[in-house]
Amino acid sequence: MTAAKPWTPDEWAARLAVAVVLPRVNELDNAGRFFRTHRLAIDFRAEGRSAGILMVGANPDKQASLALSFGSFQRLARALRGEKVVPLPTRGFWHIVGLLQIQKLTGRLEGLLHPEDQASLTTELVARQSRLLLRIALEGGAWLARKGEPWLRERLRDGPQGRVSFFIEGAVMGGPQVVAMGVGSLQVDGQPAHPSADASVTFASPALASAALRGQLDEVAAVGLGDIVIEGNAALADHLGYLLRRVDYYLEGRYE
Amino acid sequence: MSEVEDRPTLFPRSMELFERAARVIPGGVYGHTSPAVNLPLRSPYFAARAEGCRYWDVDGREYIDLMCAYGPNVLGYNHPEVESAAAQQRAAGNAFNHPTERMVELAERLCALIDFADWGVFGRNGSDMTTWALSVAREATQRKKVLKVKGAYHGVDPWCTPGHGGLIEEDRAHIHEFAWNDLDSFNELMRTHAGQVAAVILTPFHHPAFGDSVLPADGFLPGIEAACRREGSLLILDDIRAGFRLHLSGSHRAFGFTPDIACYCKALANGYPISAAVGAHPLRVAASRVFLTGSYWNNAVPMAAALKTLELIEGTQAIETMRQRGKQLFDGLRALGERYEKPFVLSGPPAMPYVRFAHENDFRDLQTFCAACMEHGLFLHPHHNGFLCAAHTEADITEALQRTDSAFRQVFG
Repeated sequence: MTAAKPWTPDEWAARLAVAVVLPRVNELDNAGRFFRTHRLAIDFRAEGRSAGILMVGANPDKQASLALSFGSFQRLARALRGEKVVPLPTRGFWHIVGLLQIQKLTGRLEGLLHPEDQASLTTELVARQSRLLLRIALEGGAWLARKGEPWLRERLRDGPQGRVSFFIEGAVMGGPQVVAMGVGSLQVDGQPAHPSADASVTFASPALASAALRGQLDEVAAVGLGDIVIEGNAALADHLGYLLRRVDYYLEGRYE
Repeated sequence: MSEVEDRPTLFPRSMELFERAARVIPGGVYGHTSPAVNLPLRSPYFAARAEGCRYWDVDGREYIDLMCAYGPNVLGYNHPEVESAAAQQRAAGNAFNHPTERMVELAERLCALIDFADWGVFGRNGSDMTTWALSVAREATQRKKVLKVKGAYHGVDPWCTPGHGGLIEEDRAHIHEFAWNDLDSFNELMRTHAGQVAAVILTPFHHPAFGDSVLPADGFLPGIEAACRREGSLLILDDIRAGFRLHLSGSHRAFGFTPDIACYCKALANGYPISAAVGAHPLRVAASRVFLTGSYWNNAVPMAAALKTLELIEGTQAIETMRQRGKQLFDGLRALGERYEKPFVLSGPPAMPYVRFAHENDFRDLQTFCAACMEHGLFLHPHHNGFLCAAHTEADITEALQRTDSAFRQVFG
């Protein structure tokens, strides 16, 4: 038996996007008539392997399966970052309909997560954006840890341990998101009571959270101004923030 | 501009300045004095003036200072004799085309004070010296590897910064870590990298931020020294934080070992910017081959201040004074903690106390308590070891404990 070939950065990026980012399309309002009546199981493929299956839509009785093959993980990763990369070959009714529908949805998701004009978003959309970005960051970190991403695994092995909660004032979250950081593991706990964490990070507004999570906020100054409130073990929160940058490293293609 | 408006604060002028700062300075205030690593919104951000063991913030609030500028204030802020020596040199000049006689005098002084030192060099900050010392070790041994203690702070250069930004994997390709007081993990590293270790760099005791200070276990430092001698690796003492606060001849004398190079900074010149490294004769050639300079590293005023500071530390029994005041503080804090049923864990040498509550690990009560101390005029840091200075009198510590009592009553009363 031969050892599996280590994933390239493009493969990590593609798999991470399929696992953590694309499922968020199910949380978009007005996903369209197609997805109210059908469900699509889309297999994103490259280099003869599956990068993951995305389930979209509501009706399990009308489920169609579709494989989108992008040739290389580099092409797939770029497609998932919003670049115009068409899977090949594209043929057959379901293939074309499914591809068009999913391109439409992912375009809308990208427009919400990384709009060209952030100021054009309504207050409600900024709140939704901040929630989605936080979830992608936390679940992305947990996914990378679960899959044994080498950089993250090494830092989790040697780093501090504890629980950090995140909360966005003004964004309906149902409670804080809590991340448990252990030796080799990073887990999103759901929403236990706020004081249970060793450190808590509270963003004063969805706009501040979005700016921070899009990497566009001077976070050190924001803490001094009270725009981000960190209580408890700030060193732990800082370390987790550092680890979660690995998610952006892949999703934004910084390894290229 | 902050989105948090009209927040009640004891520090309106600090906040006003910080809002201005945040527009023109990344982080607003960066590094170890950043509010982000202290008590945001609940502590002063900017200082106005200082005298002895007290300082006043820009809002006019007075503090008995248990941080001492994070170490440099060793004799007392604005010490008249140090200021006079500095002023005298300033009148003659500070920056020249050449060093001054002060540089030779200071190197001679350090060689006389520190038992193993045959030479000394000077920089401005601690990192200047720790990083240079590593290069000297690599030059002397023609080896690459450096062993350091996990969680130890040695400065802001890429090989050791606790920050995350701007680093590449190669920065630490030859830096390896072992656990403090764990001679087995150290020896394992030495075996793994046999014949490749240029240096082991250590602080005299372990003083991490966000954690208890830990004194060396019996045999730990001598064990490391012996391994270095056996393997031909150099032992570098990072005495930046503790130097001249624990022992006049360097902290290695307080803990019974001898390094090959030692680095000093904080207490060296009572607030004037200067750092130093000293070493033994066998390293002189290697030291001469590692380029060392900076625009202001030859400045005469800090050297004059250092000469006077060392003279006063020796002549006034300053180190013993700091130890006694630290012990008074430890005893008083211990009694208060017991009285309010919130016992402290007090660690580190008394002159450099690290304080936390025994009942928690997440610092929340300590942060609230330290904020109350600030409110009552006592600067006590919740995440970093403190510093005593020789200007703290018995009455000052008694008053500091009274203010601590007020904070206890406010938070836990």
